[in-house]
Amino acid sequence: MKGGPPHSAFGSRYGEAVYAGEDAAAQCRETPLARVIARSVLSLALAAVVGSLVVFVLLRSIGGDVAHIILGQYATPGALEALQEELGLNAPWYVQYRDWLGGVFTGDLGTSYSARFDIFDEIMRRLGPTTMLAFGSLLISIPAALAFGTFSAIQVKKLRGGVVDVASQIGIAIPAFWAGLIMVLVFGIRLGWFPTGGYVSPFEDLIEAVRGLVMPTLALSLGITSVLTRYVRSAMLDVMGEDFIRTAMAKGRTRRGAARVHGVRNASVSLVTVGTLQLGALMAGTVVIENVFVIPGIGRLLVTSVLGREVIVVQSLILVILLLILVMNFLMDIAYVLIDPRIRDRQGGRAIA
Amino acid sequence: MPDQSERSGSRPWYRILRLPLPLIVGAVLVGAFLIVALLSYVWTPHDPLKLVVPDRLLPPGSRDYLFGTDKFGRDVLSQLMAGARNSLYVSLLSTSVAILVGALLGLLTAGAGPLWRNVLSRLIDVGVALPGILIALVLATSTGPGNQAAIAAITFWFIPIAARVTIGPARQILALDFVEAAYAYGRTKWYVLLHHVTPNIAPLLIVLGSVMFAAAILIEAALAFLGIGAQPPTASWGRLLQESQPLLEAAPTLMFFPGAAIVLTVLGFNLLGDGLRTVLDPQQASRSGLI
Amino acid sequence: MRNLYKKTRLGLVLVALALVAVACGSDDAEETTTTAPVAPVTQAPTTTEAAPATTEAPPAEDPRGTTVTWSYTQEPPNWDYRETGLTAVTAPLLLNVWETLIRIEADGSPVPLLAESWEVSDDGLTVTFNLREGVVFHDGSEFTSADVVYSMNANGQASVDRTASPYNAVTAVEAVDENTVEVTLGAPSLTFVNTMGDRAGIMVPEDFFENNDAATTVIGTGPYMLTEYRIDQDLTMTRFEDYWGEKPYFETAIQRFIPDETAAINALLGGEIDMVASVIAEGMDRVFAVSGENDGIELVLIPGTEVSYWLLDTNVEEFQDILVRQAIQHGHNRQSHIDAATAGTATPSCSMAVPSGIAWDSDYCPYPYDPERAVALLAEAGYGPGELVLDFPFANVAWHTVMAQVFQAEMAEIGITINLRSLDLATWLDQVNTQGQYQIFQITSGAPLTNYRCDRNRQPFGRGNQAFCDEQMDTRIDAIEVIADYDEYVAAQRELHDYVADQGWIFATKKPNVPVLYRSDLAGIKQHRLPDIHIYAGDLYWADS
Repeated sequence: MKGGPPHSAFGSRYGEAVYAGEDAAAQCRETPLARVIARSVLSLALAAVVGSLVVFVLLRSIGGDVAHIILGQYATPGALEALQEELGLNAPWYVQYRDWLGGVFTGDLGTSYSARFDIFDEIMRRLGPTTMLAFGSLLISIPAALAFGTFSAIQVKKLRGGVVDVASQIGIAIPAFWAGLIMVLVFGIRLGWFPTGGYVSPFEDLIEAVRGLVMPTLALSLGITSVLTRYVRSAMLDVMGEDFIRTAMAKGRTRRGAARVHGVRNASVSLVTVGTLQLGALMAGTVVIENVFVIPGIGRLLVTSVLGREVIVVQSLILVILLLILVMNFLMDIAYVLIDPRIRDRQGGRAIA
Repeated sequence: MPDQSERSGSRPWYRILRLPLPLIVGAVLVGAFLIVALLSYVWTPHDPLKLVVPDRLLPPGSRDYLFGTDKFGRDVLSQLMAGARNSLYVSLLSTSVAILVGALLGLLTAGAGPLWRNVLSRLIDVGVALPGILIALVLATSTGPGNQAAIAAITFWFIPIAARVTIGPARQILALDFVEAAYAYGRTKWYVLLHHVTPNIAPLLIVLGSVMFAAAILIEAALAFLGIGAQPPTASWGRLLQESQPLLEAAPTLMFFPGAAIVLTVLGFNLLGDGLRTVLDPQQASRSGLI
Repeated sequence: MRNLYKKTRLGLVLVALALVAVACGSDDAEETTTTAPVAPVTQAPTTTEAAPATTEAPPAEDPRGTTVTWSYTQEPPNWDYRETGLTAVTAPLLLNVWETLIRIEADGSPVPLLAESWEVSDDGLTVTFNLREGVVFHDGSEFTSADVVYSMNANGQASVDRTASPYNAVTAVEAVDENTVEVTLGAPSLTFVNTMGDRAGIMVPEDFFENNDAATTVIGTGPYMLTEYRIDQDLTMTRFEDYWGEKPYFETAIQRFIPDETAAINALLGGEIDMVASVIAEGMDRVFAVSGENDGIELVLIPGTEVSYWLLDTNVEEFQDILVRQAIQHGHNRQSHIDAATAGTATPSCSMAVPSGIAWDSDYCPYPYDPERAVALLAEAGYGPGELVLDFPFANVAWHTVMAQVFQAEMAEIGITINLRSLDLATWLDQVNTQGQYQIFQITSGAPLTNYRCDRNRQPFGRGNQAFCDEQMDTRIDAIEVIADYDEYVAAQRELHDYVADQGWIFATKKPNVPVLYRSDLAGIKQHRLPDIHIYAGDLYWADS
């Protein structure tokens, strides 16, 4: 699933800086980073609390708790009650939530009800495959998008550019799981080039690990590459009309050369933004891809925990996912500065214009 | 984003008509989708839910069954048509509710005073930050799997996004001269929001709707594929794909048709969105950097 | 050239950023807990046996290796067989890791395992088990009568009905000497000895449950030790070198958890696993195609030990009329269900007798498929087309989804409207199975009919809400349970099953056979007659080795 916004950065922070308007830009100039960081930390902390509370209440309010899952179809009412008591499922919901939240502040996410694994350890273990999958996809998508997008922008009036453009539209429209299924059929079963699923840690066997990741990563990156390609293309087209390109051309550079120098930088900035924003979509994509390729990552833990009513595992996952988004946001802030120190000024300028 | 060519004045290869090609192709695909979906309410070659187990797994081109039959002996073509209906139903409902509620929320936020604007903005940020798939999973579990779960999930997934997209342009318009003039004329902020801001952001919302519709179709399919969306016997493209998985040797075409239907429809809505963006308000769209 | 260089450098920056993000991602999160006053539990969710590693003669060199890997669709929430009722617990561990007092052969007869022999007294009230000597647990302790007494008492207190209920009849368990255990029953029970070949007969070391977390620790006497368990990945069992019996061929046996049967079969086709241990859901549709198209893949259908059947809520007014019950069965096409849900692999059955072929199994079928008759019966009962509307909640797992759809369609043919409610497993277990919120109920189970008494202390199958209760059936069951003579017992069971078939409150559809797909040079796969499908690695070896 390329869930979430397709080839669009709804809620782009880039866009927000433009629109949140003058005061935001002004604030940025006064207290450049601290305020921005404080604000995003606050937002995400709030998101974590609200999110975990909503999940908790929703999952508690529906039929079937983890005791039913543990005891299975042969459960007797007496045994169910005893187990619910033992697991503390009979306590009022706010007591249960408070206990979990208290644990979070002391650094203990708790133990899963049924499998009795330490939730923190398990999430850390699951992060490995998921991050490899997600970042593997970005590693493919970003350079590919830069190449395709630039090509398509430079060749905008030619058939070649149009073909890339159309291809990226089709890429967006292909469901990741469908791409995955077809890859399994063709490259896994018919040709036998890659394993059809499963996961091998790179610390155990690097080659097998890479072989196993090829198909899921490609399936996942198809959509993202297409989305990013369209961004790069737009950013390049945007830049090619700007004054400094004309200046560069006047200085004797070719249009293409000028576009490459200035355009790629501009495109990279928008890529960084979009890359962060695609994290939600990436998350959604990994859930489905991990299910198609049987990869023991965060996404599958999420699905099994929801179906298994492992409420505190789901809450903890939300917390960790939001933490990751927080970290990514910090990194992107740094990346902004690294790639283009003028970016903030330019945004401010635009907003006022 | 705008077409560069518009500024440079020359036409790219695909501009045959006055309308941009993406718009035409998109409109054709979307139109076909709508016709098939609506037609399925009154006519399908067979009853899509009619089981004829002895006729199971017939290949495409079999007598009476243009696209073959599935493992229950149901007509695949009829199922695909009913699947289009399901996609239309889920996506239309979730997208329109999300955009209405989201836009309203966005307008309120944009028009509010500094304190409330900040509070609401932060809340919307929170909504955007929550991974949609998480909401979908939890909602699907709490309402029970089915179309209603998919609709709720997609709606809650999109509302904060629609709100966030609206705030910026709305505030931008509120800062324009003619708004100042309206205030001077004695208009209230709410009057301005309704009569000046809303018409101006309408094109943006229409484009957003088209793009979100495409995303909703993909999400609906994925949720059904994961088993938390449409439930049997409701025909859904995602569910058809899921059911086709174990039949990849026995009936490989079962995997092809629903996937192709999804691709064509999503492509149609995205192209339509692109085309509309160019036609309706390129300036606006280019300034937003959002869609 | 310079432009290209610049672009490359930029790409590198992005790549580096992504890498930093990976590192920072985990570092940051880790800090959250390590700086906390309470250190997180560092124990990985693996189960490790504390058995001495013994050196053995090197195994026969075979290019195919000394590891057998199979896939299994279900993963239990934990490994405590007293608490977790799922087949997934015993499927890999029973016989491989845990051993029971006796073992049930494919023909249903009990043979010695940890008990070398046993005697039942003439009055049927005392069972004496003579234990095997020289048996060692994986923790190094010796297996004695004290362990048996402990295990039996512990199993009798289990939450899982199948583990505990055989002990309902038991009044005392005593160790006569080091190697003899005497079990006293309150009433004669012909089935008690046989239940010692299932969960109830699992033997663990004395004080096991007090000293260990049974959710993650598994100690038995079997030919394999559980050496590693990785959640959502695999379970590794290693040959136990101090095993009392013949040592198994494979040094290592790995069960991979592949919940999706399509993915499991793909893994077999891709050569990643050697066997798909049981195909019970959507994979059924592939088994013939896969084994037919591939020379290296074989298919065997193992007769199952369960029956798929339907229950009608005895509280529903419309069902009180036997004509309606008969009509539903006459409208029920068993072969359609078998074709659609199991690709034709199951055996149609109107009898509730399990396992199939048991002495009281029969092909008695009072209400065969006859839709015209069904319509006539409904009309006679006063229901025209569409007038009967029934609620049918089903669990959206395995073949239940398929059977629900076929049922809805075939009932529509005879004018009964079925409202399907698709529920996820947890909700279904709670609302339907436990609380009895249904009008029609469908399940596949290996539980005998004698489990269906209304007044029984333990109430399996959705009778918490008394959705099903037939008092006349109870009377017959009560009478059966005290019969001490085998022939008389069989006759009474047959009578009970015929009565149930005639009444039409409970009706069977099929007895599933379990397809097993495996690479053709894997030999030794055979059926063990247990209520659970399970995989005994001790049977397996490479062909021609």
